[in-house]
Amino acid sequence: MQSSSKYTFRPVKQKKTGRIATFVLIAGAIWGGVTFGIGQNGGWEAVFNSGGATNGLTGLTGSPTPTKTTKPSGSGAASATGDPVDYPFGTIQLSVTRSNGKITKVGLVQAYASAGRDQAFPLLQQAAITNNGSSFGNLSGATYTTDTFKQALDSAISKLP
Amino acid sequence: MHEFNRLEECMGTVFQFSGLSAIDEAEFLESATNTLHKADAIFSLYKPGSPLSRLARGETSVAECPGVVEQVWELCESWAKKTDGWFSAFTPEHTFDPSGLVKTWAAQAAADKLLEAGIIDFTLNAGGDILISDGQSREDFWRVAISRPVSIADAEAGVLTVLDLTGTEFRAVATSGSAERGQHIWNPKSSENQQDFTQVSVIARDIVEADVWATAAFAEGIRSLERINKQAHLEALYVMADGSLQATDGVLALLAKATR
Repeated sequence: MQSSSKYTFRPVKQKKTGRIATFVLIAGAIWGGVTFGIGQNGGWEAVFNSGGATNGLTGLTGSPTPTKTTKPSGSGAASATGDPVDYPFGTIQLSVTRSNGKITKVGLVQAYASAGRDQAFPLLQQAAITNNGSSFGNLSGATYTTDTFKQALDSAISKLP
Repeated sequence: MHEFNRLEECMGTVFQFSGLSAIDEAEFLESATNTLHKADAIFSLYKPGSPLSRLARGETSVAECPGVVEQVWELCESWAKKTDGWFSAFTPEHTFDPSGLVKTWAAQAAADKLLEAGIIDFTLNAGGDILISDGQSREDFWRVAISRPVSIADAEAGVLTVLDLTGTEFRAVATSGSAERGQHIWNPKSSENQQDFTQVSVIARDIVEADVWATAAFAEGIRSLERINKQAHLEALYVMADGSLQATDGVLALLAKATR
């Protein structure tokens, strides 16, 4: 199983704007090299590269305004749902709710990805990539700090009314 | 049935309870989060006045600490045995530091508060370690994505792969890595730190077991793969330093099938 193959899904580097790909806690931001985040214009934006060869083409951008499900108010609850965005490898939709100044809910409205690669990988590598075609409700990772968590939610919060 | 979702900051990270309840869950969530804070107050080594900090400075003894300290001490010793010493709550400076276990131990105790109240349909994300209750009804919550070995706030953050625990004995996934907090796990057997992999996710029946083995694996390095492979009811997925993957025999069967 020892493999010398490099991490094939190297995400794009050129999009260094702070808004990209910060919604990871909820959605995980990348499937198979596809980076998601909130675009500068407030819509969802996908940035992807193909196998690290070409360095990132800017993908589609979602509808520019989020759906506001609750009226803005000083202390009440407010939530924002991004529009579902289709991209060549799947669909993603995210939501965030704030109540009394605290984020009370982060949600994955829908998340699918299907990798479409056929490079020769070791079995596990290939299987792990192929199974990104699944939706998921939980995300496990190294223990993040409160600050990191907040940072990851920043751009989602910026969409709230 | 109604949905609930609660984020609680504790132990320097964030705990998220999400699920469905037929009863008003507020009181029980309160009791669950209190359990976390109580554990933090006793075991935090970041709070100079905590019993554990005082113990580390030699100002008090285990006997003088709240009873739960001895309970955790013994739990740590039993895990040290099961992992052949690779999980250790004793630092190279010979102080007692059960941080590798306390977070998920407290998470389990918090989850128990909900279960005892009859709230059985939920998951708890303890700062990246996942506990799924037996009664989890949402299909997607049985599918656990593994984070790429970078910080969640990193521009390269995202999902490495997805595990589907539906219909299996597994209820927990814990991940250890250097992505968020750097090299924070010491090697109990030598002064050298393992460098061969950057992240390991352990899939187990309970969250403490998953967490302890993930910590032990991180300390031991890739040689832990064989050790974990020999354990019943345990699987592990490693991200090697070069980005390639290695895993125990059962992991392939756990990889989620594409849903569309």
